[in-house]
Amino acid sequence: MTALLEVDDLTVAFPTEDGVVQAVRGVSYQVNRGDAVGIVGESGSGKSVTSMAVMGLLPRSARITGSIRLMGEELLGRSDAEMSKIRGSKVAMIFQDPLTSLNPVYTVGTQIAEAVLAHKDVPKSRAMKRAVELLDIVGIPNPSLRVNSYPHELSGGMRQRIVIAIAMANDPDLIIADEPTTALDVTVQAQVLEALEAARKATGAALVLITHDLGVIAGHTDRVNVMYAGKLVETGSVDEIFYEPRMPYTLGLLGSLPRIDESGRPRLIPITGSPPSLLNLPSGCPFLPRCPKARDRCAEVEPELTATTNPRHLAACHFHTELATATAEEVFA
Amino acid sequence: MSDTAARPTAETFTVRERTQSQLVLRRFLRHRAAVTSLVLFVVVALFAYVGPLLWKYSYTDITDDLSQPPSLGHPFGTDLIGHDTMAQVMRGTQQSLKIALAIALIGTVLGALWGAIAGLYRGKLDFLMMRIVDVVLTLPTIAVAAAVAAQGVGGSQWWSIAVILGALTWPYVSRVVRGVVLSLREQEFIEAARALGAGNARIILRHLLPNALGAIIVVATLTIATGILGEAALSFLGVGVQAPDTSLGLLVSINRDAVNTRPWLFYFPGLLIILIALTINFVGDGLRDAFDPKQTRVRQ
Amino acid sequence: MTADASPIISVRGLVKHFPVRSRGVVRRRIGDVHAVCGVDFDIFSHETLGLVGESGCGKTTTGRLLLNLLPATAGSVLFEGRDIVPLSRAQMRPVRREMQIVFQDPYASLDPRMTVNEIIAEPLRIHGLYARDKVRDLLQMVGLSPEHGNRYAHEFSGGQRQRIGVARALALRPKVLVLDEPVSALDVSIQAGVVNLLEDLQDELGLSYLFISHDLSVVRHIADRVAVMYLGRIVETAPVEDLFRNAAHPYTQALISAIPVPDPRKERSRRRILLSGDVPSPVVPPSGCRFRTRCPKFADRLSDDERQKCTTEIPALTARGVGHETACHFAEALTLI
Repeated sequence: MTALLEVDDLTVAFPTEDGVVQAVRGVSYQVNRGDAVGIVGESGSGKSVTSMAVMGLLPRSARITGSIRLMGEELLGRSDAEMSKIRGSKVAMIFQDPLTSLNPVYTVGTQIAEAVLAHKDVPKSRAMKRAVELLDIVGIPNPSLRVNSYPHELSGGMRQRIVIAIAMANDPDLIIADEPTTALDVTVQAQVLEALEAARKATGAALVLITHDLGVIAGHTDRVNVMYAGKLVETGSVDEIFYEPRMPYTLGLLGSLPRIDESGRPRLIPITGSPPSLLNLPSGCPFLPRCPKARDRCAEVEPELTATTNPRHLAACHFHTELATATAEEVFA
Repeated sequence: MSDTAARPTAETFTVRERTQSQLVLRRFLRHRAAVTSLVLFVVVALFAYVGPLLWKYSYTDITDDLSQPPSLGHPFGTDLIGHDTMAQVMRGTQQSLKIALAIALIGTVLGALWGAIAGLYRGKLDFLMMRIVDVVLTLPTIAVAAAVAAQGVGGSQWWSIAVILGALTWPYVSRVVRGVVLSLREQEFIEAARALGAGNARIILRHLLPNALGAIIVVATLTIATGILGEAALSFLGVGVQAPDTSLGLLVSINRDAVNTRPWLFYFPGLLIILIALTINFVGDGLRDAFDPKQTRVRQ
Repeated sequence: MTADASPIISVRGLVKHFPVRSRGVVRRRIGDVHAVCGVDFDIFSHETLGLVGESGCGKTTTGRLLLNLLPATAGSVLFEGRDIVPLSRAQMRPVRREMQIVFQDPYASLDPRMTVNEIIAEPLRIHGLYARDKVRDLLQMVGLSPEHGNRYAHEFSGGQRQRIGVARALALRPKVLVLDEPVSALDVSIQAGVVNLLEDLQDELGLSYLFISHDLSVVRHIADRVAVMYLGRIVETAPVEDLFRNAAHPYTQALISAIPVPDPRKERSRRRILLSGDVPSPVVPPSGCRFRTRCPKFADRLSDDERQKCTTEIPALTARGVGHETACHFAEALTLI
């Protein structure tokens, strides 16, 4: 069986005034049907750009190489018109700011119905009925009343749930959610994540969840890709990433988090320095300047993703075997 | 501002940032019309200020060549009583530029302070100050300036013209500056200054005006162009610069009857007025684009 | 913190209403945003009080009122026993040396036209205390190299910029620092460094912090006591461990249960208290208990009589143990993590 989404050696570069920004530098990953894959990384790690490439939403100036296959079909190099057919029907996307994805002059019902009608030939009344059903699934109270609301009449959390309803409209095979809850309060975030789970259950869609929030990743994904400086630096099951990280960056990230479930922890362990500029990256490991484990080899050769104890758990570190039992305190303190 | 901050997809990149002035210079240099205009303007300024030192005639000299058309000896020709027109145009350009710069200076300083105060204080003071601006803006500038100048306040002094016109152009500046200040005052660094105990004077002079500098430079440039035209209009009406001194406006005025008979007397100073006004406007356009972060774009 | 010491900051009955005006030429006042409604709290010397709540709950406004950056509608802010609310801007100036603020957005809170040296020197110049060495020392104190002082703020990363903001706030050697979401805008790996810095500085300089945040994880880490705000009121306040172990207000409980934990096994087995609906408008806040419109207990478990009480009677903060107060008629402690 072929994977639902196969991204193979994807690179994305943006020419700017200062030179070429290597936003994504050879990323490969797969999403199987029904899977929930998290992509985690800090700003500038390339996590959003990777998914924008999948959706064909990058600006024209972007130079893209590699391959993106959806159910075996190549997406790179397709025209805008062809991509529009795929977007919304097979793949749906949810962005951070729901206001930009909603049209302020139409009611939310019309917009959901519109999404249904764009890819299915059904009567309009049927589409409106579907809109009410979808609103109910994402947990909007009084859905038959709410279909007549305009986006500005709704709160941020409600709007994001409308966007999720639109994403579900055509039973997509894949939903890509890019920081879907970053702009929201925690109690609202919980509601929206619940809606996203409901949407997955109703459609059976696979999910690519892009976020910087490791807590959200822990609760809502099966597999995790960690990105740093435009590359995947670790990939594995959610438990492997959280309990047996094999890349110093992942380890450091987990160690630097203040945790609500742990009391009396004396001190956070920060990762010193900041991520490298993606212009003229030096050779060698991009994490080197911040890595307490760095040795000569790290400056010479950029490590590739290699299998650890489990062939599905890969880490881009020359010395990942040494991290097998390490804690953030030992490595970074 | 980062180079890429204006573009949502690119804002996640860590690009080495340059200083604001370097960025502005780079963007300005990309604006071809503005750069060409700046070069032309510098040439005109050199012609006006360095030219007289090198040229064999002074604008007061009376030569024996009467009403000569342009020739090698007199590239711009001569007038009825033997003045070398090029020397006269040099002097005229000098005077016109000086007056225009003074107008821009007066108008900009006054307007920037006025706008900054109105924008910072808001409320009733702002309302009052901006209604005064509205009133001044409705005045027909040249008519009022001509009427005041005709009263002979300061007589034919160049600075009196500058003061009168400067006093009529500042409202444009103040409107622009107020708009910028209204958005700046909501920024956290202004609140931070307040929390440190900074007074209003410090906030205006150290924070608001430096941050509004881009807008101020642009509007000041455009005021120079207005100043050139204003001076020309006043001198044309006979209430500006007085003979024996001269200015571009005055030259056009006294030679307007010669358009058909001795066209060089009219066209050379006229051409310079247009040249200065146009180049400065282009430079202003270029600066506006250079200061506007939305103008950043990625090379295709 | 000693129990008998008098607090350095004492807030009593603090109220802030923002007028809502009609559109058009005559902008009539048509109502008020009830941003802060009768807030009381104390901050003791060398203590961190965490003020948590979601957007629009009034926590940021409270921070501004504490520094008299906004005029309070009613109530008092006592700094070392003296009410600073009625003070004029000039009278406030000496007090500003004692109380400073660090802002959330390290990009907006530093003047882009100033070099780092100028930014840090500004408070010293305003108060006539400028000396070049002081600026160097401050840069070193927050972990920045003094050689970088001639650069402009935008050349620094977010974490470094926030350190510059801290150095500026510390220049006058204040006793109290209001930290308004100081790490929310930073990447995770950078956050930890700034949190550690704030902790070290507190120990070194004996500072008192009001740490305003929506992020309960950071608050649990840094705060000694926590006050939870909802729609302009403090609904629960307790020593930090007590709050996280025995949260008694339904809102606090929902808040704690909504925070995702970076631990997949725990996350899968956790109990979530989902709130329905959205925060009501602060222009017309609900009568009685302001949380009742979203309260799961009110919706599912209370009798009609009990509901009546929530609707008509404003619950006061009542003691439930040492330093633990809850504003709920039907509070029950719950352990959620």
